[in-house]
Amino acid sequence: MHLSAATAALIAWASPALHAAVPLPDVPGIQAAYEEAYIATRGKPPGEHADDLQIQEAHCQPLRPGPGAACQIDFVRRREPEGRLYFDIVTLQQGEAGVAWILRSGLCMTKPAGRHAALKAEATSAAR
Amino acid sequence: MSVLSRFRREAAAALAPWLMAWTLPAGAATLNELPVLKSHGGVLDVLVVARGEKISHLGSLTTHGWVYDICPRPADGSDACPVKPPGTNLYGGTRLQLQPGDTLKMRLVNKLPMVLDSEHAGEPGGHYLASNPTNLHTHGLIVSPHYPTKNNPTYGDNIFVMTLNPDNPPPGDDDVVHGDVRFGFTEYEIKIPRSHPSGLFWLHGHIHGLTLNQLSSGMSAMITIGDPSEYLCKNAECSDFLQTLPVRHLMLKDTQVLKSGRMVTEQYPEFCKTKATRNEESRQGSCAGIHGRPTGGGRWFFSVNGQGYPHIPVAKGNGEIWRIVTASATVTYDLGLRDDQTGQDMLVQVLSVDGVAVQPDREATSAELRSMTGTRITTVACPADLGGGQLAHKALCATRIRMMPSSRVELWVAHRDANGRLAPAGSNASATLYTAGVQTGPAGDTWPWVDLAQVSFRGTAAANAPQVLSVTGDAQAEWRDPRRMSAELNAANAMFRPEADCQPLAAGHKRRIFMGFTPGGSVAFGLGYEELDENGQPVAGTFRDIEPFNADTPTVCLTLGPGNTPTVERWQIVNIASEDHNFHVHQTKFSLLSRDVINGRIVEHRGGVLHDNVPIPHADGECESVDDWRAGKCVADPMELEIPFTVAGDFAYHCHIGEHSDEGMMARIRVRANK
Repeated sequence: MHLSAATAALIAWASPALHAAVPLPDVPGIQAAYEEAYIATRGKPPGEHADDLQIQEAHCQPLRPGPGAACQIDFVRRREPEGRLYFDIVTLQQGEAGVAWILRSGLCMTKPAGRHAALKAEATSAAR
Repeated sequence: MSVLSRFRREAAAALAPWLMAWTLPAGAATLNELPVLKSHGGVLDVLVVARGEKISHLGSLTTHGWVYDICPRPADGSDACPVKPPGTNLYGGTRLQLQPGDTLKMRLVNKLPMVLDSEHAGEPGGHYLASNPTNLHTHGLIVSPHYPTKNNPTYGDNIFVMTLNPDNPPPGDDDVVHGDVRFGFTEYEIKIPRSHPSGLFWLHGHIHGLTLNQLSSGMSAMITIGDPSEYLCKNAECSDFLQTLPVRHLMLKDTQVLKSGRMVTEQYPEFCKTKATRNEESRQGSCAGIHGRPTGGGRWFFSVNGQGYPHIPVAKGNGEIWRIVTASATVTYDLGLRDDQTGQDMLVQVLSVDGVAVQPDREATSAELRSMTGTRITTVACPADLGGGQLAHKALCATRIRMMPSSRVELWVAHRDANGRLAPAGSNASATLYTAGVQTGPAGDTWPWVDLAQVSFRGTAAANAPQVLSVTGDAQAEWRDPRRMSAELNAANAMFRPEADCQPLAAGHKRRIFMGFTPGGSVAFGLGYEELDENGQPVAGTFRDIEPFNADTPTVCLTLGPGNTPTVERWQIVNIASEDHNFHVHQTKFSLLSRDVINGRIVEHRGGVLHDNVPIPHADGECESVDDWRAGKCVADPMELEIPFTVAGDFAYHCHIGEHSDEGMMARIRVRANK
């Protein structure tokens, strides 16, 4: 389907308004999603979510391609008294009934030790 | 003078104007200085926008690269610099001019397009690299890599943060991302100690997996601190002479462009043949892509300040100061200044290396000068000094300079005769600034021979001109005893609290770093480690085989001295590979320790020449592992470094060949404050 230039311009103009209509998570919503993820991964090697993250701020936008949201968050670790600020980008999707958010990526320590470890793990898996 | 030689001289003089016209391509543009942004009131506050840009100044092919668009921070908080006039050459770079004691504030904004040809974006865990995240590293500065806090949400020279363009996809659940991740922008605040050396530094991105791509596409800028007069010509006579020397800044970059106009950000080492083929019309500023491959019809551009084969007019007989940054992603340059009349390399005086003035001991022998500079500089005897008085330090002269990626030098360039003495230029003298083809070992790369710029000389040096300039500044003395600097850094260092796992080396111990490939089936560049005791024997339990970069776990952890005074360590770098590597460590400078072959003892040259990167020659023979090296299957030529650590924080040491560091030849080092 080809859009006319006028239709494309109308869509471009309306995009911010459409974005505004998409629900986006707030700090309590992201904190709850993180805590859910922490409980779900606790004790499951190779790693798990840290248990002491406290989200301070969040700036969210619709995930493209969607559905869901991508948020830059800044957070502190409760066990670090010097108040270091951390930053991450998380992606979330809305759960059933549209009330809760589910953490899809970010804030996570379940990954291999590095990109190279991931590569090695895949090579090992392929060799089997 | 014989009749024949007089005839030759006269004939050469008669032909020279014609030769000049022939060698200087029609319309060869005069080299432009980089645009400069200077600090005011102790602060330089800039917006650094990383973005795509059409590049049309290099030569026959127009392409699209990525550049830093740098401007004073807009008062309205905008994340865009004012629109530049048509023809602005952003690819060439910008120079940030600071003074010791200044603060460099930068707001990095990522507006980069997606990466289309990233090798590592295709690897598991690395898909986010396609979104072209970026960050900033102030290469060579001895500054804190501090992290943000609630009270100061800025980063120092911290490479463990990446900024994403929010228009590109964020990392997904299959990506392996470490460190901080941000959308849109990141604020940096780099506090430069008052006792910081004056000299030449630079700015570039440091995303593991994309360093090669972002450098080869044009993302770098120059940083200068202070002024050459702070370390040159301290006596009155020489000082007056120095004021007659223009200072020129040269940023060397190279970029590959296919026939279609598409830039190759994942640079291909065999894009061109090493030397010009018979059918290749010119190697002025570029070399032709090899035919019969995807490179056919393409060109590899080697630019100076973003200009292809510019003309550099050295307009006065006293010559000029040239400050040169090699901002190449992977290429080793072997720089020479070839006299067009004689075909011989002209002598230049090396004033500074890697941002610190050179100050070899006055009694240093030629062999000692060579060992201080590693394999970087082809040192030659300087002409006797007739005008500058007794030099406090040995002058360092050279005919060729090997510049691996990230190297910097400052040179005094003037017209000289075959004996290296200042000589009248007449009206026709010219030379060619070029890089000779470099082979970096049996398994290494072969970098092409390219002429970089045409240089014309005019005039005669002043009657009282010294043959060499005295290099007597105090920057290196500060660094030789860096306690003042460490006192200035104390507050920043204190935020990195002591850790039980970080212990100083025992007396007489040193660290050994292996450079090579990971052992076993998966071939990747990596680094290994072990500690050596006072007898040079490995300390049990410290060996870590060569492995690729692990961003999470420091390989080396050490503690500053009592009161957070500097900790000085000795490192031995062993390259077991069959190709040269370029060892670089952040947040410090090091000196090379020379091995006195006759006496079989280590001879120290503290402070003679300081480096932040140094070529580590390849091993002879074939080693696939450290075990092979221990078994004598290859013979390495280790480099011994003395490194004073004054800065606490987490940073990195790595090979500065972009392809190698991106693939994993990098390690994390952690320096912690003392109790």
